[in-house]
Amino acid sequence: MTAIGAGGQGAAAHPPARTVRRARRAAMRRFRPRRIVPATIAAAVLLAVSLLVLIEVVSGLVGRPARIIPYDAMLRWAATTRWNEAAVLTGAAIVALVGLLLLLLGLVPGRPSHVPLRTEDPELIMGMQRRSFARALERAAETVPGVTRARARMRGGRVLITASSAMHDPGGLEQSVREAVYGKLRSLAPAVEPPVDVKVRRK
Amino acid sequence: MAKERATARGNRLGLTLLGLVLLAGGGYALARGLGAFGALRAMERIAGPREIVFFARSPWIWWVIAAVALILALLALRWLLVQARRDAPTGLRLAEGPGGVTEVESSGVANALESDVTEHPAVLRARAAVTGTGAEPGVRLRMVADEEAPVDELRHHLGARAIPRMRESLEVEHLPAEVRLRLEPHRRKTRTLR
Repeated sequence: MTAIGAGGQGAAAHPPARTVRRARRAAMRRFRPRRIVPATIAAAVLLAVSLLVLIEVVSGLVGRPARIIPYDAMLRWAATTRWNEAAVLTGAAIVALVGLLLLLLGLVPGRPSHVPLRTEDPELIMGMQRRSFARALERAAETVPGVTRARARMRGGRVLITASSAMHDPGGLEQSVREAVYGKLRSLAPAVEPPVDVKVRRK
Repeated sequence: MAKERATARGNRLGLTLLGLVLLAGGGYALARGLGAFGALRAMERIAGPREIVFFARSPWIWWVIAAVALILALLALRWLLVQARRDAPTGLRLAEGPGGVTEVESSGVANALESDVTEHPAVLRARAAVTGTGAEPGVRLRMVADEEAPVDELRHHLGARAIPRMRESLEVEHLPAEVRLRLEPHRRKTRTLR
């Protein structure tokens, strides 16, 4: 095993910075959500609505209206309803909100399912499950003498470690916890190293 | 892996476009009803005399609506079908070398990678699959390792030994690999002797 470990990250010749960047971008992208669920719902609804319209219009054009949609009643409603009525405003607001939601689902990249790890090889993409990554950092913080329990939370590219201690004056612990967590981060080597915030609480 | 990323891109584009259309439509109706285009227009009927006359005088509009509905239905059908698109494991890889065509059972190659990786005492389980096409294969590996596992060692082993070895046995120059690592709470690894 020493033969494997010895090369590590340090001694081996480093690939050019551009390759490293490319590898990192590919890894970041790979574990983003694919939006399968909202896309499936949207596609199914779009398919159903456009098929209904198609059937109604074509059957009407050839002179045998299918009348799956009660469009006579709908037309009567539209002919007697004004734009500023509450029902219209409510409906319009709902449609606009759904549109806004879909827009956000399309534009926001979403939280990756795995934390991409640095590999320096664009062909090797490696990700560590988010929970496992956080758990590994928690374990690292818990190795610090005086810390009884630690929780790691990842938010917005930062890691927040909340360590609990039974000590009366846990002031000095913060630095040790930070060092332990950064040490673990160095060995895990995520593609982007997150800044670590440490909070120590007395229990 | 390429196909699944293409689905992801398509989904984001589709959701964005549909979202824009709904937001624009709903926003217009809301603005009109609230009087953004004047109090008079807010009080008009949705299907007023003007709209009814327009539809009565332009029978071709129905053909336009039918055409648009047909195009949307086809696009939606394709969008729906594409969701099931996976980079499925391929069964067999054919490599054309100077000595003719070599057949390599890809499940055998995947198994070899699995046992190669699980040799490390910290790796508890591994599942590998060859993906892509015969000419451009890829590999996908799911690994479960011990919580104390030296992740940098595993990574180095994969990048420097396991994947290159697999590249050799598949006789390809490029072998994109995707590795998903999960850690499990510390437990003594039991080994069955066979």
